[in-house]
Amino acid sequence: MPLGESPLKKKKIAFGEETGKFVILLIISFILIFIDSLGILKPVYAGVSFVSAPFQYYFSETRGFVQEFTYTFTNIGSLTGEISDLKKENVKLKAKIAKLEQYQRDAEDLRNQLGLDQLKDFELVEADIVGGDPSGTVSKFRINKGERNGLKVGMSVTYQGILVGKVEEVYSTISMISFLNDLESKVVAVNARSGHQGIVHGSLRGLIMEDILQKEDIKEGDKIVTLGDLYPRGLLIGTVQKIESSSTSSKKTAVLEPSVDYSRIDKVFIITNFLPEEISGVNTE
Amino acid sequence: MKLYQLTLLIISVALTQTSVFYLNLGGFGVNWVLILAWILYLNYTRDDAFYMAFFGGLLSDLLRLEGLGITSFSLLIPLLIFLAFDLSVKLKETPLKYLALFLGIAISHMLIILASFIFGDISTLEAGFIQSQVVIVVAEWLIISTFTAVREIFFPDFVKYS
Repeated sequence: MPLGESPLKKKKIAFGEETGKFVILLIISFILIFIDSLGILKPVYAGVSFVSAPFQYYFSETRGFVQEFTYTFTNIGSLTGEISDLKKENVKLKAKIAKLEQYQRDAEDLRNQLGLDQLKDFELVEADIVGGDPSGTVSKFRINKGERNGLKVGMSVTYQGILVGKVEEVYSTISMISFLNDLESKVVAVNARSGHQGIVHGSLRGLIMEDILQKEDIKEGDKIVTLGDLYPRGLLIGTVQKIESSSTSSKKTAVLEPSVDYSRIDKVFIITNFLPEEISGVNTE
Repeated sequence: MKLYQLTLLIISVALTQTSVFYLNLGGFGVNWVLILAWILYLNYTRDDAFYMAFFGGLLSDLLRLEGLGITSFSLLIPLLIFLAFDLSVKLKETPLKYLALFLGIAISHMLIILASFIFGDISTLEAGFIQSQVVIVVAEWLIISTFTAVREIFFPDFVKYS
């Protein structure tokens, strides 16, 4: 050791040499996080999404196949019994069909009353859900359609004719959508029976309709549909399950039962010929 | 490890991690970049471990199209803390490393959530999320510690200190 150099100093230098290059990697990571949060890296993501789209489709198909195979394999013993049950059920179903035809006619009358005839005028793009949030922290999902298919941010996402969410981000061949049960989701809605309005938003309890005046007529079983601001008018959102009111508040809250189980959706339809006015630039005056 | 071997390993692990995402395993997919980085640290060389954490994390973030840098940042912090203890008290040579490993994995997951809250598009946590994260931390710890313990028993001379 050279005269005058302390062992402690030498140890510090060795420590710095060991950790220095790793600290640089850490700083680069932090800078990348910051740059990404500014949205500067969108073109990079767009390029990667273009390359990875076929792989996403492959994984999506594989997932479906594995789920189907697992179900068949684990239930093979009960399939024979199921066939017998299905035959019996088939007879019952035929009887039900006759009833349903009557209900269908009633439903057509209701659709006309609610102004839902415009549904048939929508242009729909079918999309498969190919990925979910890896950490499970938000209700956002990736679909296998993007800008090339005519998708734009803000477009309404439907499933079996029911409003389930909207398009959040669009890349060339894929997009991100969020469901209505996302905690940041808000929809101006209306009670299809009474015509009273309110705001529907996502919560940990499901869909909640707020800002309903105490005097307003709302009851369990009422259908809630979109009013027509950010989403097309008259799309079904859910059914009133429970009404909560407080003597200290001038307003009451309704808990809605979504018309579809969001966790089971694997395919959605995007309405491409309706965009919110603020996004499409239509002057309302 | 030779450069081409490490490169292939990083690409394979990042692709595996991305496939966990695209197969929609949601909250039940373990972080394979984290697992490989810690396995390399405890059983091979620390240089390879840090490069795996950095490049593997970046590549998997890039392939899942969000939060670039969050994974590598969250993996590097606990690795650096572990390294600091390792250099001062030779932590890697004591059984205490298993406890430190558990804490390191937990810190990584907390940092990923925190960074996603601050810089990403996460604003709320769904019910049951914390439970699923605890399950993932334990699963990752079991994989890494089992691998390390088996290696120490059957291949005690395999370790190459960097």
